[in-house]
Amino acid sequence: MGKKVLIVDDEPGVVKMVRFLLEKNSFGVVSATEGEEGVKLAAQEKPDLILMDIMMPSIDGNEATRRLKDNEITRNIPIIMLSALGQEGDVAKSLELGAIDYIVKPFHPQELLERVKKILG
Amino acid sequence: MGKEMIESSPARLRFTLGFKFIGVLILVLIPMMLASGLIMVNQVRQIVTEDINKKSKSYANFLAKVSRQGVKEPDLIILKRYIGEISLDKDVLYILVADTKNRPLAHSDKKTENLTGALEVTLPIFYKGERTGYIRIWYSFSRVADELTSGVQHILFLLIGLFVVMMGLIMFVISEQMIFNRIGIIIKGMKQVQRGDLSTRIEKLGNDELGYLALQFNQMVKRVEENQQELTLLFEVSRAMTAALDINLIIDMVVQLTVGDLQASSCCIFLVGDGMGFNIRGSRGLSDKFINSNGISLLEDLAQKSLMYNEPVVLDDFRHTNPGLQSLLKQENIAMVINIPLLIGDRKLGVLNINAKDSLTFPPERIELLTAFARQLAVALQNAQLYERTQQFSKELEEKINIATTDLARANERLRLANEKLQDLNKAKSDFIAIVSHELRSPLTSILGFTDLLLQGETGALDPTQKDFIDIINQNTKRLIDLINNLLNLSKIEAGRVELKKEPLDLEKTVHGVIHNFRTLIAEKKLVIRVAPSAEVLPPIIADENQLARVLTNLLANAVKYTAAGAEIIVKLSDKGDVVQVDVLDGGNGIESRDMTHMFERFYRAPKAKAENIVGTGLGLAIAKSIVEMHGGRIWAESPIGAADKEFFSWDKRGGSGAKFSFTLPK
Repeated sequence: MGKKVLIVDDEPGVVKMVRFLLEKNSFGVVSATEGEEGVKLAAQEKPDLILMDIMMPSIDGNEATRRLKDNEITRNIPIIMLSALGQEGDVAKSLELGAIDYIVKPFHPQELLERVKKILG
Repeated sequence: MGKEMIESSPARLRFTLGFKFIGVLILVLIPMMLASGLIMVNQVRQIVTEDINKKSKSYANFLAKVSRQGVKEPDLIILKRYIGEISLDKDVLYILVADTKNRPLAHSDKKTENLTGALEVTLPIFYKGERTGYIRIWYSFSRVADELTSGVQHILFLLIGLFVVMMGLIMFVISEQMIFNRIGIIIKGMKQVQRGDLSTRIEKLGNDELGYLALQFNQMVKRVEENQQELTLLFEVSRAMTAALDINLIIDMVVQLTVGDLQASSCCIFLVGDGMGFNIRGSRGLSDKFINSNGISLLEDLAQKSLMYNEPVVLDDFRHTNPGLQSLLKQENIAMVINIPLLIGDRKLGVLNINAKDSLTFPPERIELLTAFARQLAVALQNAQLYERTQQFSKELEEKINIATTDLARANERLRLANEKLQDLNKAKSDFIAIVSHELRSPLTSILGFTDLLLQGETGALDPTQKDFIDIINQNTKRLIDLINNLLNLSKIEAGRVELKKEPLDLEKTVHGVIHNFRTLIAEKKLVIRVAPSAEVLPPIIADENQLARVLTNLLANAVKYTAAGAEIIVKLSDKGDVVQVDVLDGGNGIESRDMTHMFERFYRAPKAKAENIVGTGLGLAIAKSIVEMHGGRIWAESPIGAADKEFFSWDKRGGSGAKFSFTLPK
């Protein structure tokens, strides 16, 4: 099994599409559809990379990122934010909080794959 | 004080001189007269005595001659005859001829027995140097006395004459002194008047001409004083009324003045109102009876008639006026009606009507004075009217302004509320767009992702029809994403939520960067993009690179879209002094002039583009315009279609049609 990626997004279609893409490319994928669950899962699964949507119900991507960075176990897991245009402010905040990159939605799957591969080598 | 002051007048000097003169005259003349009287008496006596002596000598000589022989050898008869002849002289009283021995030889008849008091002259008679006797003659002294009396009489006459002359002189001097005195009083009075003391009056100086003169003088001064008082009064009232800006106040002053101070029996002021109405505005001194019996309207008629003239109309003979007026005026005891038109140039303001009980109250010179006063009154009334009008005007203006201000305030309030609402709406719109675009984005991410994956054959090969259909879905998804992105951009710019991050940047590098993004599209359409850099070295410009890239992207996307396959797109950069200009010339069919004006409006798409089924959101140019203007630049489009001047396309060696989009950015 290759590297493990956690995807946190409230849109099941996006989760399914990313899971398909990454699994096809030999990545292990775990997913959560909301922030709190994502944070819990990250601590359990200790993925190699987290793809985090920003706008989600209950706690949003930024709050989840903050919590992940607060936690000893999850602190060093790299996070790529999935943002939509018009959320530049949120992106900047995420980067401040410790996210290493961001991808603007909607994205071409190929683009995402390239970024993931770049980080996970 | 002027009255008490006594001046050393020349008249007074002359009085003292007069007295001195008279004194000297008396002191000198009387002794002189007495002395001359005495001398004259003495002279008369001498003359008479001499005369007698002379006569005596001639008688004696004569008698001596005739009697020498007679005395020697007396011829007494002859002697007696001569003696008789001499004694015929009435002065001779008695003649005696005697010999040396004093023996009488002959004598005359004695005229009087008493010879005492008579003048006795004794003369010797000589003959051949020998005294032969003597002759003695007694003269009557009465002649001497007579002579003396007449001499004294003469002197007396002279003295009386002198005395009379002197008395006359004295009388003259005294009377002169009195005239001088009185003239002095008059002169003194005149001087006081001259000094401006018009209250000066001369005391009664008697009933003669001087007294009359003084009386006339007093009357004259009184008249002058009255005139002066009147003038002062008129002047003061004039000044007061010119200063007053209230018509009623002015009118009150005038009627008070004319009736109270100028001895008019009554007075009215008629004014020409708006629309040529003619109305009484003030009156004084008219009886209720007169007013109630329509007297005012008769006066008004007279006054109105006088408006035809430009000078005072004076009526003191009413025999030819209508009987009603005649009797009314008589009842009211009005003997004179003066109507003075109130004029300002040609403008007739009204009439000042003054009535008097006696036609002598207002002699011509007083009427003249009143006319001058009326001119002042007209000016004052005009000023007051103008002031009133100004006040009225400013009041109206104020009201209008108040209304306007209230309206404006209301409109402002409405505008403010509308603006607030609009801002709320705008924010709601922006929020809505942001939310909607996000909500659209997630499903679009799935659609784009899955169609991409399908087209890439990740799920196995597709047959051509499947591939074609999925491709259409994929293309339309991209279009939808473009639309959403542009919409969101524009809404952010319009909401002012875009902050420019300006920094110096190399325009040419930015342009090449943007062109690089188009490499796939360019390759697909086999287009050529050529950058024609400025002949000069372009200065760095200050701009937000991301935004500038967006402008260039939108313009290039446009150019790529409209340029026919295989054609050339030219991007030209030039330094235009204050600004740097970027031109993007495409190889399309150009822009119709009717489209030119709408090019940069949101959602505007040229009908031709629609007809040719060229994909676009109609937002790209609107966004480009907003960004350029945010930078303080200008954006425009040109096309040779229908343009008279094709000169600006000369740099495009193809001479093609196309369109040129240009924008400038300040350095």
